[in-house]
Amino acid sequence: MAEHDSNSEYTVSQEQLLYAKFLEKGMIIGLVLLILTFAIYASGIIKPFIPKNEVSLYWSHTVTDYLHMANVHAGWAWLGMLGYSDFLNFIPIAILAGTTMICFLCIVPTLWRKKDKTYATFALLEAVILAVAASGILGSGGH
Amino acid sequence: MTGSGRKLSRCWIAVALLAAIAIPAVAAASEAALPGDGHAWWFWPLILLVVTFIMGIFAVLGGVGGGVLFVPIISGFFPFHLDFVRGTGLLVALAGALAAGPGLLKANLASLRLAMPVALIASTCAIAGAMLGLALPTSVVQTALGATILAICVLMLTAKKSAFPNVPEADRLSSALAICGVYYEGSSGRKIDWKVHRTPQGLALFVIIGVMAGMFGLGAGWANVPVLNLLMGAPLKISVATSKFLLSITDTSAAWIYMNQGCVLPLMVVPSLLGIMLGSFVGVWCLKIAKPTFIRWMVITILAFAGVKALTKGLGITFF
Amino acid sequence: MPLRKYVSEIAIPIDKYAVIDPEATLQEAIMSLRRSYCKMEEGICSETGPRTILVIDPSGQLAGIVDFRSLLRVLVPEVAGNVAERLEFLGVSVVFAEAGAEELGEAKEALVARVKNNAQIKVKEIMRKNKARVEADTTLIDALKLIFRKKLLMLPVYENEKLIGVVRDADLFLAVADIVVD
Repeated sequence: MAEHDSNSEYTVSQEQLLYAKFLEKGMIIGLVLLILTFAIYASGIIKPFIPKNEVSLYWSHTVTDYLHMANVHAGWAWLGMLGYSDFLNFIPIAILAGTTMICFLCIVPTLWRKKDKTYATFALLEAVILAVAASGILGSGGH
Repeated sequence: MTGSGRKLSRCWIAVALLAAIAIPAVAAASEAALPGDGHAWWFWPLILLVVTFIMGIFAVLGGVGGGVLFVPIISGFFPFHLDFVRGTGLLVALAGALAAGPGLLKANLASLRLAMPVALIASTCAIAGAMLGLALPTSVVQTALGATILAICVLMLTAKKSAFPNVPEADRLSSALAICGVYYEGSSGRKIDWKVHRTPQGLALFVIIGVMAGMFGLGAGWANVPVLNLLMGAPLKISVATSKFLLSITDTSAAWIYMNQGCVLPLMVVPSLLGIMLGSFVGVWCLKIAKPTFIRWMVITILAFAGVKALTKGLGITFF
Repeated sequence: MPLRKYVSEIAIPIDKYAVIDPEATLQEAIMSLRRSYCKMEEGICSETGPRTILVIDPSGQLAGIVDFRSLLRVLVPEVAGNVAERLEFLGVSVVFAEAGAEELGEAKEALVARVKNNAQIKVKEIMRKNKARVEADTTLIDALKLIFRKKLLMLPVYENEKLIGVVRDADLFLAVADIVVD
């Protein structure tokens, strides 16, 4: 699909193109890294925290039971466990999940410069909402 | 066999070959069988890969979103707990939306202006839905999931689509926010101007859609498209594209909640993700050759089965 | 030896070669290329004429070249585009197929309309940069070496910094062929 600007009557807005650009980058980096880290995990080059053949013991239980039985901490504690190959996979997953937030932040200046205060606020607000979700502040009690 | 019939059966041969090659290859690297259920570590991930691959193909051939198939089928017929299935399902739907997003935005088929106000509401409600879904007892969620799936099946069977809805004039909200656009319609070669109406009602519906997406880990395409297309009056292509793009935002917010609760297991997520993406591409290729009409019925039937299964699981009745 | 001839002896003079302005659309480029490539009077299209168009900017400098590949890449990206373009196109198809929107067939049904639309792109946006050039007093054998090493279709010929003509791989072939024929 061609994207041309001056010689056709419709233009894709600047912020939309910018968003698409960052989305594409984040998506590719996330996916490529995911395949890489999963290969490391599956091949066993680096030892995982939970041995691969024990994972299936946990996935039929509730998540609270899993955390308790496997002695895993929820939330961003995985950052401290990157020495284990299974938690290494969380880096690309976090990248994939974090891409949209970054995209929204990136378009705020463009929208502001266009004097589109409403949408600039929308974009900022959305980035904040996603950040709040990501931060883990909103824990839930579990079952 | 006709040319297209031969090519279609090549699809199935490819699927079978994938399984046949993968199993011995991985077996060479496998470790000892585990104490729990007697299978090697790669057994269930491989099953996931093959099943999601087939799911991806059927999603495309049946005109159904991959996101709505994952949670019902995997939770209904596999030993994984609903918590992990929802976390995985959200990431799978998210990845698909992220992959499609840039192309749709660049082609001006997904509208950022339409998506952003909707996304604000949908993502906030998805967070609430996710928190609610993790707090409620599993049986309650399972029952609600079952009922919702059955309702989705009904919706899929009855809902019409409108290629170019008639929007007499934009309502005050959408005019104030300048939610409108132009896109290039390939089939007729024309540029289509579009606008939306009934925006407040649409936004209200997205509250419910957001909560459901978060609570059940379903991709919400089956709900987004009718609301955008039939209620708010956006052209079908814009609705479909914006809906897919919206998923990337809604599912992100819910996925974080599930992730932060520990519901993400790489051994489940990665095979499922790869499977569905590969399946979708193969599905499009198959679709260009032949479109069997019975596949949509088959998909809806399987979905209905999964819905009944979830319902009975949640209510504690055991039929099968 | 025929191959010791100079390039200027077999080059097509610039005023007989298809040229176009960078601001022109692909549609105009295509019509010009088709005219020069085919012997339209005879109603058949055989490989006689040049397969490329020179893009000359208003100051008379060679800005770039347009050939079949670069045109097709833009007109039908889902077929002739690079991997990224084809994947992007496929990604969009997946979305519409998954939603059951019957318009999958962006490729099938819409080809005509889309090609016409893509033809409105300006030449300057898709032209290739010129990779090599020769002087009027370059020998044919040196020109042949250049064409093969850089995998080119043609070489612009300069004399005193002025573009005077074009020598194509076809012309060099004919020069070599003369040896066999004679």
